[in-house]
Amino acid sequence: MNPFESFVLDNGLTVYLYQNSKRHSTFFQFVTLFGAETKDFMLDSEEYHLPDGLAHLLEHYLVECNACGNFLKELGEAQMSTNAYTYYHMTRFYFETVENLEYGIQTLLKGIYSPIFSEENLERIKGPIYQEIRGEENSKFYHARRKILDSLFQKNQFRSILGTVEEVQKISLEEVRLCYQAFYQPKNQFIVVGGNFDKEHVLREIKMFYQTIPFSSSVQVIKKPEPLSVKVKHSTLFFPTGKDYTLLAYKVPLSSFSPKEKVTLDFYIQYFFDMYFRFSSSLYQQLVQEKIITGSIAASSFVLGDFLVILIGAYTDQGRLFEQKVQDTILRLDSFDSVVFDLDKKSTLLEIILREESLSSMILPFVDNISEFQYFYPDTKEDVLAFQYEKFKKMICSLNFKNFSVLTIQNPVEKKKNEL
Amino acid sequence: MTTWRLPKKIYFLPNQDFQTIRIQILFPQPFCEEDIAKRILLPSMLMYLCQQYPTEEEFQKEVQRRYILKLSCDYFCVGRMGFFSFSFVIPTPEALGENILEKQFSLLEQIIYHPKVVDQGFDSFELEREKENLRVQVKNDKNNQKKWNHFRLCELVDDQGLFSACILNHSKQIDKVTPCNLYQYYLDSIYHQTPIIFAMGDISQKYISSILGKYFYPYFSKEVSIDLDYNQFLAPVNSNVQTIHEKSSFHDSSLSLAYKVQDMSESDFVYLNLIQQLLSSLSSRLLAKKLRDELEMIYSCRVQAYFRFGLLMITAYIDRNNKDIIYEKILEVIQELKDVNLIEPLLKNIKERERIQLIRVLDHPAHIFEDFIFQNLKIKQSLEEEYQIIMGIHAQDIAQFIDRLHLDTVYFLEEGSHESI
Repeated sequence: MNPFESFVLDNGLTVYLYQNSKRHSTFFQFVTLFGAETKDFMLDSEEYHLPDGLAHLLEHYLVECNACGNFLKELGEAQMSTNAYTYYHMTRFYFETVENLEYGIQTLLKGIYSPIFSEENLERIKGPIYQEIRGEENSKFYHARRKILDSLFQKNQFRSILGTVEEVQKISLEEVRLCYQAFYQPKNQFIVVGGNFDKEHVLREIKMFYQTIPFSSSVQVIKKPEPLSVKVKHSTLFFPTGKDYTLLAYKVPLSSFSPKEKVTLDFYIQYFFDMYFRFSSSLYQQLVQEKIITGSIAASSFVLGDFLVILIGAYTDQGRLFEQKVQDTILRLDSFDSVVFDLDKKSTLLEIILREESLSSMILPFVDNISEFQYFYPDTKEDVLAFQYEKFKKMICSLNFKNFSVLTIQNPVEKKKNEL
Repeated sequence: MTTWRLPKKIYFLPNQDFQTIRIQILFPQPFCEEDIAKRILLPSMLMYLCQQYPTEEEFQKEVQRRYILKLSCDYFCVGRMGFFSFSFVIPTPEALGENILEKQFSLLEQIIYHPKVVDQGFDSFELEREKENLRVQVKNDKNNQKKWNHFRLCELVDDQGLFSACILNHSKQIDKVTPCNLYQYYLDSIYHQTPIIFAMGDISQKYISSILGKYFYPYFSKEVSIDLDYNQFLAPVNSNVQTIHEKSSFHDSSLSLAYKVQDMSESDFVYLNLIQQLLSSLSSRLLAKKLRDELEMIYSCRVQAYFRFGLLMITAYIDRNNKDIIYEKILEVIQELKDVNLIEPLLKNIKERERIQLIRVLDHPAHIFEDFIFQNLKIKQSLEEEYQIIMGIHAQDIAQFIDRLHLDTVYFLEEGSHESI
C-alpha cells in the first residue's frame, strides 16, 4: 500500500497526500471538523448554543454564497465530479477530476474562504433546504432516528443533521457567521489529496493559497456531561410502515477508549454483529424458526459525543418478544465464536488490501478515522493482523449495555385502534 | 425482431489495473408478466443456501471461507428481453496470496446448479419467509413517495402494460408461488438454459477459460440465441396531454412531466441522452439553474431517459403551492433547448465531459465490465462509440429533435396534511 504522507502548514492545517499512479483521477477532499452534532461552544470567552441544522446550512451557504459564485457549479462545469456533505462529526467538500487539478483546488478553497454574509443570501438558500427536509420527512427511519436520540440523550440536544423546517427558519445570519468564524479555521481543518498527481506541485498550490488568507480565533467545544441513563425507555412512532418495526438502541459509554481503541472497536463491533445478530448467530436462527422475524436483523452503530449508539432492529409483529430475546442475548454475551472471528478478520484483511482498487475506498475510511475517532492514520494490514480473539472478547465484554431504549414503529391505523 | 445466435465461448476482457476478477453469468429469459413474483423470489432461493450448504449460516461461512467479495443474483430487462444475472467478484490469486480459484468457482457452480431442493421443490419454510418479506417490501414501497410516484407515472404513460409491470401492480402473484412451481420456473429459466459467461481481470484468458469451462461447459447444452426485442417504443396515450392530480399522505409533493418521442428509432438514442445531460448533468444543470438557483423552490429534480421506450421523465419534488410556477418553468426549459445560441456552448461542455468520462471510467472496474457486457449483448454501443456519435451532434440537431418530443402526461402527486410527529 502506498503511504499517506502528511504535512502541517504554519497555520495548523494538515495536508495528507496519497499517490497512486495506477489511477487516472485525483480526489481532493476538504474537511472541517465541524459537524451537525456540535451545538455548544465557547468563542472569545462567550458561550454559544446552536439549533440543529446549522452545520448543514453553513455547508450550503459556503457552496453558494461566496465571492466566486457557486463553486460546486463551477467545478461541475469544469467536468469534475463534486459535492459536499455534512455528517455528525465533520463537513466535507470534494471534487474528483482527471484534469485541471490546480483549477479545482483554487476554486474550492477560494469559495470556502470568501463567504459573503447577507440576510438576502441566507433566505435564498433556505428554500431548497426546506425541500430537502420535507423529502427526508417521508422516511420512517428519519423520524425513528430523531425519536430514538430524543429517548437516549438527556443533555445532548442533537437530533438530526438537517434540523426541522422550524429550526432552520429560526437560524440567524449572526449564528451562521459565528460558526464560520469559529470552526472554519485551518487548525480545525484538513485536506486529503489522493490519486494520480504531482505531489510537490499540489503541495505548493495549497501552501500558496493559504499565504494570502489571514486566520484567527480559537474555539472550544463545550461537552455537556451526559448521564449514562436514558431519558425514555419505551416509545412508539406512528408512521406508515409495511409491518411493525422494533428498534433497540443502546447507549454505550466510550470515554475510556483511546482513539486507536475506538478504531479497533469499529471493526470489532461488526464482528460482534456477525456473531450475535446476523446469519451466523443463534439468535437470528431462533427468531426465524419461531417466526418472530422473517427478514434480517439490522445492526449498526455510530459515535455520538462520548457514546457509541448501537441500533438493533427488525420488522416484526412480536415486538416485545423480539426486544426480550435481543436483550437476553446482549446480557448473556455467550455467543462468541472463534470461527466467525477468524473469517471476519480475514475478510477485513482482504478489504484493506483491496482498498487500493478505488480512491474513495482508500480515502474515506481515513477521513472517518480522523473525524470520528481522532485517529490520524489510515487502517493498515498490520493493524488487522494484530487483532486477537481474546482481546476482541475482552473489548466487547467491557462495553456497558445496561442503558437502552426501545422504539416501535406502528402504522397510524394502530394508533386509531388504540385510541378507540 | 431479430434473433441473434451467440457464439459458444467465454467472453473475456483482460485488465491489469485491478486486483479483482469479475464474473457475470447471464441466462436470457424473455419478460413474462405472469412471472414477476417468481423472478423476484427465485434469487432468494439460490443466494442464501444450496444443496451442499443447506443453512444460511453454513452458506455464509462458506462464502467468507472462499473469499468471495460479491455474490448476487438479479434480473434486468431491456425492452421485452430479460436476463437472470449472477455476479461474482473475487480477489486475484496475487492479491490473496494463494490460488483457490477452483474452490471459488465450484461454489458458484453449486449456487447456480445445485440449490437446496426437497421433493421437486424449494425449501417451503424459506420460501414462505421470502414471500412475507416481499409482501412487506410492497407495502413499504407504497409508502415511499419516490417509488410510488415513479410507479404511478409509469402506469400512466404505459400503453402496452410492459413498461409499468412490476410487483406493485402484480402483488397477488406472491400468494400463487409454491415451492414446486418456483422450482419448475428455475429449471426452465436457468438450469436448462445455456449460460452466457463474461469475465474480466488480471489473469490469463487460457487459464480462466479452462477453470470456467471445467465447471460450466457441462451446461453448455445448446446454443444461446437472444431475441433482440429490445425496443418497445411507447405511443402517446392521448392526442392531448393527460393531466392527473392525485392526493397522498406524503410529506412532500412531486410534479412529473413525461415526454414521448414521435417516430422514435435507435438513432435517436443520442438525442435523448444529450437532452438528459443538458437538463441535469453538472456540466449544464439547466433544470437546477431555473428551479433551484433562480426560483429557490426545489432541492432536487430527477431526469430519466428510457431509450428503449422512447420516453423522457422529469420529476421535481416540490411544495404543493409552487406547482403551477414549477410547471411553467419546466416547459420553459424544454423550449430553451431549441435556442441554438444557448445550447451550443453547453453542448460543447457536455462533449468535453464525455471525453473526460472515457478516462474517468478507467478507474471503475464495474463500469468497464458493464460496458463490455452490454456491447457484447448488443444492448448498447461502447462508451468510445457513443462519444464519437455525440461529437457529431450540433445544437441545431437538438433543436430539431425537440420538435418531436411530445408532452404526454403531467402527474401531480399532492402531499397530505399530517399531524406533527
